[in-house]
Amino acid sequence: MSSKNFNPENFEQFLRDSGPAVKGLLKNPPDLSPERLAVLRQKMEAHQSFLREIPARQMRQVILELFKSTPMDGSDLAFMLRKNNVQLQGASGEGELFGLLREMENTKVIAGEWKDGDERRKKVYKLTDLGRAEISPVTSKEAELAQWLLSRAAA
Amino acid sequence: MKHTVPPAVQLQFESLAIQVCELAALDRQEQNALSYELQTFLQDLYRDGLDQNLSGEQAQARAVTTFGKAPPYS
Repeated sequence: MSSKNFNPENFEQFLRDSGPAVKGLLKNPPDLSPERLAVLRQKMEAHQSFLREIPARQMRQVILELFKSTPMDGSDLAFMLRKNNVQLQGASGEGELFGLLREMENTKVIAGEWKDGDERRKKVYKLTDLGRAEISPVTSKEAELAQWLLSRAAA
Repeated sequence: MKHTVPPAVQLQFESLAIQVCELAALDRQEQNALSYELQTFLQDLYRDGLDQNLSGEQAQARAVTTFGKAPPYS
């Protein structure tokens, strides 16, 4: 969601759509004075920029967390990220996500398997034991982001 | 109904995917597999554009722009 969609009347929904980075605000709702809203809006825009651009190291963790919950093909993953304004930092386009998947597959933290879909063959990725071992046992912001993405996909 | 990708559009996607894989200097087998994967993603981007009521040309241009031109991350 871009900042132009911001509407004080849908404040709570706006916060929910902005993702886990602002969930603290949901727990402690602020007052809704115009001045306060202006400050919050600036903060939320900053959070959204953070969400849009994720370094490869963090994206790798997010992908591991996602595949821990559900195997998926690269296209589904790319669309999930795109719909939620999440991108690989420094990438010239979404195609580079597939390079990261390839690298993760080469390092054996994920495994891809070609499967026949309804209309085309898909390479479905799943987490390996090596990948599982790489996931932090402590809930991280990457895990939080992955859960948020999954909850958005399920909604 | 799922949109069909016209042959001319498919040809451009195929060419772009192969170009990207060649830049990444992959071995032939890996190149073929990744190229196919990238092409299907480009097709999905194209169909998504049509779903959003773009024209065929707009959807094609949007898919290519969104996809980017750099070799895959490594």
